[in-house]
Amino acid sequence: MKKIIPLLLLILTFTSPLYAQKVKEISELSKIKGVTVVQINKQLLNLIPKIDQVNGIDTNQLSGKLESILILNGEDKAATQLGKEMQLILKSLKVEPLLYASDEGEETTMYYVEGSKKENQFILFSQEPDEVSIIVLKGSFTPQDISTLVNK
Amino acid sequence: MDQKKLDHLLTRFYQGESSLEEEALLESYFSGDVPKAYQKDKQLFLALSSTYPEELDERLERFMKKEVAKQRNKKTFFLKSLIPYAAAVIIMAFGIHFYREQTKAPQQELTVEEAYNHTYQALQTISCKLNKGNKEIALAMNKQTDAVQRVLNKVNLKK
Repeated sequence: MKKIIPLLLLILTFTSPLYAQKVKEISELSKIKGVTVVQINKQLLNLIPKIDQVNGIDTNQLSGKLESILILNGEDKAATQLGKEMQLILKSLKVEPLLYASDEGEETTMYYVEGSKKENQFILFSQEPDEVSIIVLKGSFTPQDISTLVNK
Repeated sequence: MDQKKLDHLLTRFYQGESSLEEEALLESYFSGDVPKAYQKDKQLFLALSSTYPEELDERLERFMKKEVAKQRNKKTFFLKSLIPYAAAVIIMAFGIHFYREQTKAPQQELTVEEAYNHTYQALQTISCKLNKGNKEIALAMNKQTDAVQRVLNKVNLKK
């Protein structure tokens, strides 16, 4: 017993931080098994041709201010876990949704998170019964830049 | 020695202010007969002047060395006993780290073309959803305006 107590204490001391329920970053959700990830950083964005228009909508204003794009997609089991963990992250960010739309079982919520310079985030969180998709744009854009994506 | 001088010397002695000569004086005085009132002082001076065994220093030194060695052994034993536990914890930490690294999703490097397509699709999806949401908002607002208009018409008819 004398030997077991210090052993347990040592194990608890050194391993407890590993199990601590800390709030994850969105990018950490890519570790979920079965989730497909696309991460495009600034260097790669600089290499691609400029996207001035998408379906006739002017994207010039927004695309020039992008720092990174993260796309996560999960189906079935991965979708459930991805959805759950994303809800937790959004709760911790304490942001109000910009827009919520529900259509034929597909719920879409959009968020704008203001950070330090060049660290603003636009999050699109789309949930279907068996699929979850998340798109995170990071950059120095403003909500006005995002609004340019809406058909006038 | 008269009582006044004796009291003065004793006071200095107890206050720690007496010189060696004064202490010797007191010691020689208390080695003889003293009045009853000074019996306790006498006992103290006799105890102080009594010689201790010659080997006491040596024995004390040996005892202290033994105690120091015991304490050292205890510390080393404690540290040594921790080694297997520390090793177990390190192995566990490595195991957990290794497991986490293995469960990480494999990341593929994107080509410029793929990056372009994904960026385009992301912007397209966002634009599409925004427009869809916008249409729904417009639709809901129209419906509400119609409903309000109907209520107003009814109120006007009643008038």
